[in-house]
Amino acid sequence: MIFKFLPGLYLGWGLGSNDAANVFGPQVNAGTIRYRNAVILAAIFIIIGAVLEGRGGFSTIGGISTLVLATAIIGALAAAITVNVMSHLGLPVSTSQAVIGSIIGLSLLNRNPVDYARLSKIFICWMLTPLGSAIFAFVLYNLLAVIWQRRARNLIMFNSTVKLLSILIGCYAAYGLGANNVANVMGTFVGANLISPFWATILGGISICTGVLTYSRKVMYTVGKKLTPLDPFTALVAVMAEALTLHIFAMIGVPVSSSQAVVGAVVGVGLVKGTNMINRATLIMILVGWILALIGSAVLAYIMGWLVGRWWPLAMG
Amino acid sequence: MWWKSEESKVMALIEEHLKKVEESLKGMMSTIEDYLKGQMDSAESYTSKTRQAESEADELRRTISDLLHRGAFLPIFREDVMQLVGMVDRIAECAQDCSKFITIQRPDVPDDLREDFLKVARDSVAIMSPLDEGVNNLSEDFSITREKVAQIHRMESDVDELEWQLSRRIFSTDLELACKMHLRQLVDMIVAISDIAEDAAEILETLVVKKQV
Repeated sequence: MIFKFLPGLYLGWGLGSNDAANVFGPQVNAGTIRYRNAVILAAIFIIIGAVLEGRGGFSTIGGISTLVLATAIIGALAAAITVNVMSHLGLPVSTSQAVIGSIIGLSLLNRNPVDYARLSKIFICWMLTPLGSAIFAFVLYNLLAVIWQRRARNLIMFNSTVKLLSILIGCYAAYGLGANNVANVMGTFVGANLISPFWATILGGISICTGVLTYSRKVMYTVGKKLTPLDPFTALVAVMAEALTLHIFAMIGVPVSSSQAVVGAVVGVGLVKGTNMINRATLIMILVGWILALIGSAVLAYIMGWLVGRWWPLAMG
Repeated sequence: MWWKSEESKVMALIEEHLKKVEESLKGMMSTIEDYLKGQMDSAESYTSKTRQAESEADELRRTISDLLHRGAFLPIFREDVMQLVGMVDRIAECAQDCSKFITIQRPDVPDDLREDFLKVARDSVAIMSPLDEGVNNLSEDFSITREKVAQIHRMESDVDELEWQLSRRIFSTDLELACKMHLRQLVDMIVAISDIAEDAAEILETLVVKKQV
């Protein structure tokens, strides 16, 4: 029974192992929270986020095109492979874009109608992710800097404030990640009516948590380090802006990329400080990753669907 | 409060460490005063008190270092706190070296230079007071720390001026060159205290700057 969800669970595991760095990476690397405590908190709040607010994204993912058992499995598997291959090659990758890409690839193969209005909404949200995150970071930085300067009157206060905020903001970001990204993991299966949204959030949430708990250490220390040159306050503002962006898009019901939200946030705080915190090469790599994830996953799903269709035509619906 | 954070424990130990360093400076000052009065027994007794205080300060520095290794303070501050404590500890080492230098080598200080030596020593040691306040205010108010840092810079500059004047007076006497060099060495040891205090003040400044957003 659960075997048919394995590609989705594998995708969730990959998502958890990669994206935990975006919610607790800067804090772990800055030493404000231990890795073990960070992943436990992340896992708890990802599940809570997924169960409480993760259902919104299912209709978006499942509503793009008609899905059946085979296309749901192929869609999730193609997305998971794309994410893993790109991560292995060190390319920035978004699970949302890989999932949508695979659904588009399968729709083209089966000549299924695509809901272009829904797809346009998703594309707009993707573009708004780094932009919105940058705006949030810009506003938050300016607002919180005033409060911060008043509160951080001495070294003890500074330490305790940073530690407390690291935990609170990290938990909120984990909540946002669970709420926003669980639809990527189980969206194709809900779209194919193979599982109820409630159980999908539970199963998807658990798979993301498994990734966080079992395989996030390396990414946490490598990806997270890229944000560590930021001072503790700036890093916290960046994670908070990312968390807000993820949460808002979860409420709208569109899964977006947490990595792109973080990059947008870092650019936002860079604007406040008048410094360029992300170089042009990084931005180009993100754009390349954006396009490659979408196209790569679409092509892979198309090929896999075509192969399955050749041997088992009825399965493709 | 029944619960104390690691950072509060470190700050309490730093306060204790500062007291020990001050104790060593008082010992050094008494050694100089009694030596210049010709009271050698008393000077030697103060030298051993200075050594005792230095040794206790060193012990405290190691305890602070252990707490920092266990994770007190954010990593961005940890190195600076460690360096600050190390620098303050060097003041106690200087006090000990100076006391030992006097009681072992017994430099021949001419009568007309005794007041100048005392003045340089008092002013150099006096810098410990703003340093103490600056360090202790790290856990109270950064703005006071900044004020104290500025005060330390001014006081160190005054000590430099006194050192320069005393050196000129030493080399304008009819003493043997070896004697002059010996006195010059004593001056260097005394003013090293204010120099190190200024280095510690620079670390304080770094700590304050790091909290700026």
